[in-house]
Amino acid sequence: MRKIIHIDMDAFYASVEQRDNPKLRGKPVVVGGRPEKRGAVAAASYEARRFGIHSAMPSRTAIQKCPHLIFVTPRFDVYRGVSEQVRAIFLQYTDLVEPLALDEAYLDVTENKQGKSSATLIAQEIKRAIAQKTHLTASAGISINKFLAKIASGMNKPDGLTLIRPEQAEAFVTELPIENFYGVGGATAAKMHRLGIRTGADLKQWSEAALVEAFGKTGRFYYRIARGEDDRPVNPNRIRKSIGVETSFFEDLGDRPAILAALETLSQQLKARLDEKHTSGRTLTLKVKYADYQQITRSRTVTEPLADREGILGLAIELLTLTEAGEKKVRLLGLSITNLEQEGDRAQPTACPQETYIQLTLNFGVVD
Amino acid sequence: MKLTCTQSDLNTHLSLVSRAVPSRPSHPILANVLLVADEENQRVRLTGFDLSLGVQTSFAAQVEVGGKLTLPARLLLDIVSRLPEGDLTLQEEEGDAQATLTCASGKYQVRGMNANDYPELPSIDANEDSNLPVEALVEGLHGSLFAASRDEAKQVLTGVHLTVNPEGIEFAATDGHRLAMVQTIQDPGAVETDADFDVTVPGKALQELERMLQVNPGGEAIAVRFDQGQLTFEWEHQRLTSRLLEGQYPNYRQLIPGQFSRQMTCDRKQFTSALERIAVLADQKNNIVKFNISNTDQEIVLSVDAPDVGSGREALPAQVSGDDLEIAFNVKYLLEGLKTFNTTDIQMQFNTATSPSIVTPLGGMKMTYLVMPVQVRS
Repeated sequence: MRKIIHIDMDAFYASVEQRDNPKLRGKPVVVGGRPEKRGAVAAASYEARRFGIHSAMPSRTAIQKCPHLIFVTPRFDVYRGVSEQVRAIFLQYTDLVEPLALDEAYLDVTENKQGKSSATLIAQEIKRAIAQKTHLTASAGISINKFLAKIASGMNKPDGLTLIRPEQAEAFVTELPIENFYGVGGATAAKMHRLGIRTGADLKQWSEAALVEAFGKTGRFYYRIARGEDDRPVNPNRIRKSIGVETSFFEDLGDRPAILAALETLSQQLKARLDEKHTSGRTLTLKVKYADYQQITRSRTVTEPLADREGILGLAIELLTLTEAGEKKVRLLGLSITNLEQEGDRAQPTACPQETYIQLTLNFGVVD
Repeated sequence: MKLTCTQSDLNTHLSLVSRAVPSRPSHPILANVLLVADEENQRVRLTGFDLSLGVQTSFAAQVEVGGKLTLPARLLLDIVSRLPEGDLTLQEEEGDAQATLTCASGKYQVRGMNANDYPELPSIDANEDSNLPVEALVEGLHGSLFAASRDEAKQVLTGVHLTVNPEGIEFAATDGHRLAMVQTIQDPGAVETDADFDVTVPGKALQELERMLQVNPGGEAIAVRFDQGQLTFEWEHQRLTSRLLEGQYPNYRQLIPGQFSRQMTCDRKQFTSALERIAVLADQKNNIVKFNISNTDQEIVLSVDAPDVGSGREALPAQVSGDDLEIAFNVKYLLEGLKTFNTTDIQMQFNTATSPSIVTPLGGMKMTYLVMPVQVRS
C-alpha cells in the first residue's frame, strides 16, 4: 500500500502578500488584476473568502461582494522563490515529488530518504519546516493514493492535517459532493447533475461502461475514484498536456478586424510559449468568452504539428468562423495547443515500427 | 377509476411511454406515468415526460369509471410485462392514489401519486401545421439517425437536422466523422406545410418516434408543430413532444465535394458481407479496414491487419474509374451506413486518401453518406 501526501499551501499568493506587508494582515486581500482593468482573482485571503470571493472570479464581482477589498498585483517571482523553498523541504524526504502548481504537490513517501514509517509524522515535520522557513502555513492530506490525499488536504484548511485511512476511503467518497471530486470541473459537474449524479454514492451506481459512454475514457477514471481507487503514480516528470495563452479585453471587442488583430497577437504569444518549452502540438483550441460571460471552445486536430505562427493563426481564424464572435461582442479570447509532442519525438524510433491511425474529422469551418 | 383492458395493450403502450420516464427524475412524480381513463371515448391515455421528451399514447379499453392517476412507471411495467396474456382490470378507490391491478392469476396493489401534480406536456399554439407523410419520415429517420453523435458534449450534433418545405424533407445527421443525408419525396406539394422550416431534433426523441411509428403506424401523415424551443409530432392517438436543440447546425451541404476523381461501383450485399467478415478482426483494434482500389484489375481488395491477432483479406469485383487508390476507413462507420441501404448496387466516390468519401445507394432512396477516411501513418 502506498503512502501519498498532498501538500497545499493555504491561500498561497494572498498569504505571501500578507506575510510581507503587515498592513494587509487580517484584511480581505485579493491577488489579481484590478476591477477597472477587467482583472480576475488569482488568490483570495481567508478574510476575503468569507465574503464569498474565490479565485478565478472576475474582480468586478469580487468588489461588489466586498467594497473594502484590497487588490494586490501579483509578484510571481516571489511566489516562485517560496515555492522553491518548499520544494527543497519535500526533497529532503523523497524525490517522488509531483508539483501541480506553485502551491501544491503530491509526495510519495512509501519509501523515503529518512526511513520513516509514519506518513503522518512526515507530513507534520514538513508542515513545521514550511512554517519555519517561509512563515506560511500549509494543509496536508495523507492517504493511500493521490485522489484521496487531495481530498484529505482540503478537509481542514487552513493549517490542517488530515489522514484518510484505507478503511475509511469508501465512506469518504460516498458522501463527497461530485463537484469536490478532483478532475470534475464546472462543466463536468453540470453534466453529472443532469445525469442525476450529485454525490460519490450516485457515481458509484454507474457501471464502468455507462460512464465511459457518457464521459469518454475519463469515465474509467471516475469509475475507479468512486470506489476510492486511484493508481496514478506520483510522477516527478509530469508531462505538460497543454500550452495556452489568453487575454481579456479592456473593452469588449465588437468588430471582426479587432478580433482578428487580437487573434494574431495571441498566435504570436502561443508560438513563443511553444518555443520556450521546445514543443509543438496537433490540436488547437480557441476559447471565446462573450460579453454575456457565455464561454465556448472550438478545436481542431490536424495531422502535422502546428509549428509556425502562420499555421496557428490560419487555423485559429478558421475556428473563429465557427463562433459568433463579431456578431456578439467578445470579452476574452484564448488559444491553446494540446496533443503536444516533444522535439525529437518523431525522430525516436519506436520499439516496433507500427502504423498509427488518425480518424479524420469533417471540416465544418469551410466557408464558401 | 375502473377499467378493463388486455395485458398486451397495456404492456405495449406502457413500454413506449416508459422510455420517456427519466431514470433519475428531478421531481419524484416524473418517475411516474400518468394514466387517464376516458369514459366517454372508452380509451386509456398514458403519458411519460422527462421535461425534455414527452410521449403520450392511448388505446381502447372498457372504462367503467373515468379518472386519472400517476403510478411508478418502472414498477408498473415490470409487473404488467410479467402478467399472463388476457384481460386485466385496474381500479383506484376514490382518490386514494392507490391502484389495484387484477388479472386471472392474481392481484397487485401499487401506490401512486395524485395526478394533479403531474406536469402538462408542452402545448404548441402554432397556426402553421405541417403534415409529413409517415413513409417519408420513417425512411428519413432510418437513413440518418444512426449518424448522429451520442456524445452529449457535442450538443447540436446529437440531433438530426430536419429541413422541410413543400418540395420535400431533408434529414441530416453527423457526429463529426461522418454525415448522413436523406432527401425524401421530391414531388412538389407532397408535404403539406404552410411554412418552410429547419429544426434540430434530439436524436433520442427521434429514436422514440421511430419506435412509436413501428408500433402504431397510424394514418398516412403526421402533424408537426413547433415553436421556438419545442416540437410535437401528433398522429392517431399518439403524441411525442421534444425540446429542440439550440445552436446553429453546421452548414453540412458545403462539406459534400462537388466532384470526385475516383469512383467505384459494386454489389451491395457482397461488399457488406466482406466488410462484416473483415470487421471481426478489425474490431480488435481501431476498427480499421484498408481499401486497395485497382483500376487495372477492376477490383477492390479489403484488408485488415491486427497486430498480435491476425490478418484478413477479401477481394471483390468492382467497376473502378480513376487512378488506383489506397484508403482506410473505420469499418463500423461503413457498415452502419450500408445497413440502411436497400439497393442492389452501391457506389463509392473518392478524391484522395485523406479527403471526404461518399457512399450512395444506386437507384432507390436518395441518400448521401459521407465518411471521413482514417489516415494511416507509418
